[in-house]
Amino acid sequence: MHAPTLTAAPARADGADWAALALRARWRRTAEQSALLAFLLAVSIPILLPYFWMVVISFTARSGGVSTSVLWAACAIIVPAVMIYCVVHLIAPSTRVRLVAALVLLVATIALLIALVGPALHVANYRFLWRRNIVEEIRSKATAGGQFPSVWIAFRNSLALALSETVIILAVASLAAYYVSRFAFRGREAFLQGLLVLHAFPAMTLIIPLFLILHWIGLLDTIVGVMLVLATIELPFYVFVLKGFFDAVPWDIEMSAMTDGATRRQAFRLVVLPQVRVGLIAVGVFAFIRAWEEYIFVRTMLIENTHWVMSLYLYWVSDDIMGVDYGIVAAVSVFYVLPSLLLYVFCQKYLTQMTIGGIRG
Amino acid sequence: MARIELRNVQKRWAGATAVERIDLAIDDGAFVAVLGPSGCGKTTTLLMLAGIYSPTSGDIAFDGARVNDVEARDRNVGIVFQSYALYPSMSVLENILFPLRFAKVGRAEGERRAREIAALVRIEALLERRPSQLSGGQQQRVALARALVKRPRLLLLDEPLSNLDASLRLTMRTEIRRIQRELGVTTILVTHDQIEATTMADRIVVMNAGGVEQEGTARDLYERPATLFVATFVGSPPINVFDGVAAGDTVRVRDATLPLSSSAAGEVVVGIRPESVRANGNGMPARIAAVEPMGREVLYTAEGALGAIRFVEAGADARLREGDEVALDYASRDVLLFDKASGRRLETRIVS
Repeated sequence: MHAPTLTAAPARADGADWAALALRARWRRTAEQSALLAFLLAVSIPILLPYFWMVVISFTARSGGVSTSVLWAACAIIVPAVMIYCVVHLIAPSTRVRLVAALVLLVATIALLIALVGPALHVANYRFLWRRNIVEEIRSKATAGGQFPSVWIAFRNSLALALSETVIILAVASLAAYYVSRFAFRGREAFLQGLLVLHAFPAMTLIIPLFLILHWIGLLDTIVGVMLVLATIELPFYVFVLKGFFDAVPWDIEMSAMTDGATRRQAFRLVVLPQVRVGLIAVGVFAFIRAWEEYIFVRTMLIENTHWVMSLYLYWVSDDIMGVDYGIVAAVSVFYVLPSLLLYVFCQKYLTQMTIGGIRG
Repeated sequence: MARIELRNVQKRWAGATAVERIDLAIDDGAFVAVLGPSGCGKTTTLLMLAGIYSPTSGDIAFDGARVNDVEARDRNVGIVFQSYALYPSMSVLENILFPLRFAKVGRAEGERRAREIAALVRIEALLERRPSQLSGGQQQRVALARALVKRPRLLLLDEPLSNLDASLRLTMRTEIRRIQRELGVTTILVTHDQIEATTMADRIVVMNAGGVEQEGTARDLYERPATLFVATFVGSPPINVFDGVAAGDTVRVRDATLPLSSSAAGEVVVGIRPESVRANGNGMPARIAAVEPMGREVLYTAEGALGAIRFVEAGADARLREGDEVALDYASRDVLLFDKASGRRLETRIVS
């Protein structure tokens, strides 16, 4: 092995070989990047395709069956466009060229989609947004549970549940986490371990006792009852997460605030809380989304159809008209996903920071 | 401005004693340095003065009034932490204005005072910045401004210079001194750096293991250290120490016998400052073991009758080389004697 390297060295030293080496390095980089891109594309297809299909169905399906022709047509346009862009991205030397290519491809894709898929699109499946008795219309008879409620009632209930969940968890978890992080008290270690054990404990096992408790205290079939149950089950984890954030806030600034004339409470509010802002946003978003997507507990504890939340609305819609009208089910699903999706998009940068804060704690 | 007293102050934690016993009086307008190694209880003392910790026993008094139970926010104490502890979410101006929020100072008056103090510490141009956009020295000045804006009766500085680079440290040393003189605020500086203590403070309190070893001027500490700890902690390069046994009018260190001015007995420690040793050709024979040029002076280590001894000579170039045979002489009045068991300095001296 030694001999070739020794003989190769002088050849490099005279400069003749540098270009070839650089070329090889460039090729290797390109090859690595294309392999990576291909891999990422391949693994994202099974994740993206169902969602994409859901959206396509919601805008194209008509009463009766589901035709996949629109989906394949759309895929036949979008997938090559993405692949072409990937190739351009790998080959094109400058950002300007890539940008132009992206714009051209985008315009071409949209034009093709309008031409080929456009005529099949319609919004009739979204008529549940403004029509009340949609299920009755489709089945041309009343549903088992009486009249189907308006989607906006479910939406309002879901929003109330998710928002109050967020507020409760932020208020309780931030105070508890601050206390656990800053104060020494008897049983602190046990308390912290308890938080983790509680989080590891499957909450589903509590469903019957919780049902009975809610029944006895008269909160069964109320949003408030479910809200309390969800908050109780979720709190330990969020206390633990926020404790990590509080641990990372130096003592010095708190002491400094107190010598500056602040009370402990003022120091907490004015100096410490702004330091854990990222953690609070992340915890708030997760609490919101967790309550928004909650199904098991609401399914068990909410009965009356005016108390339905979005997940129950979706469940009953699909239960009543699945097989008859996929379009509406898909449209309700899209409507249901939208708020959490928007929240994720807007708060993404805080959510990615949360893992960092969590590890620190 | 206030006269500060600590009477018999002790601070115990669940498992350990942080401050054993402190008695200290600081005059109004004085600049005092608390000097000691890490873990000696100096920061705990500072935080007790600030009101963050309360002493387990003993009294803290401002102008003669006991303040043990007065909360930190009511003591009107300004503090600069080693980390500066600026509020990262606030601009520099908001940081400086923060203490005034609680002092019932109007917005306009507050701004005026903030700008005045900003001018004093020379950060007028930085008021709109965030702490993260400032260099270490600038953050330090902001912390100082924030501590001073409410016109505290006591200013506490906790290792304020240790996070700065060498040249900035020099500048800030003079700056802090200038600002303290201009305002005349009673100031306590906590540090482990003897240079900071001796250059900035009028008086120095040396602490060790939770207690005060000695209190005095830099000159007192250097020339008449009360204990062996003070003698070894103050002075650079550190003092040479040799174990010896005193009997009658002499002390024996290894092969050497040194005459004493008055009789003593028992185990003693002989301390000789590197500065007071001369290699001038008459005295104890020794051989140079190491030569370390340090810029303005050269540090030598020699092996002689007493054992290894360090001494310095002025000048950039080393006059002696490793292996040279020299004769070491020292001014006998500069030699310090300590009782080995108690660590206290003995009044008896070496005579030649």
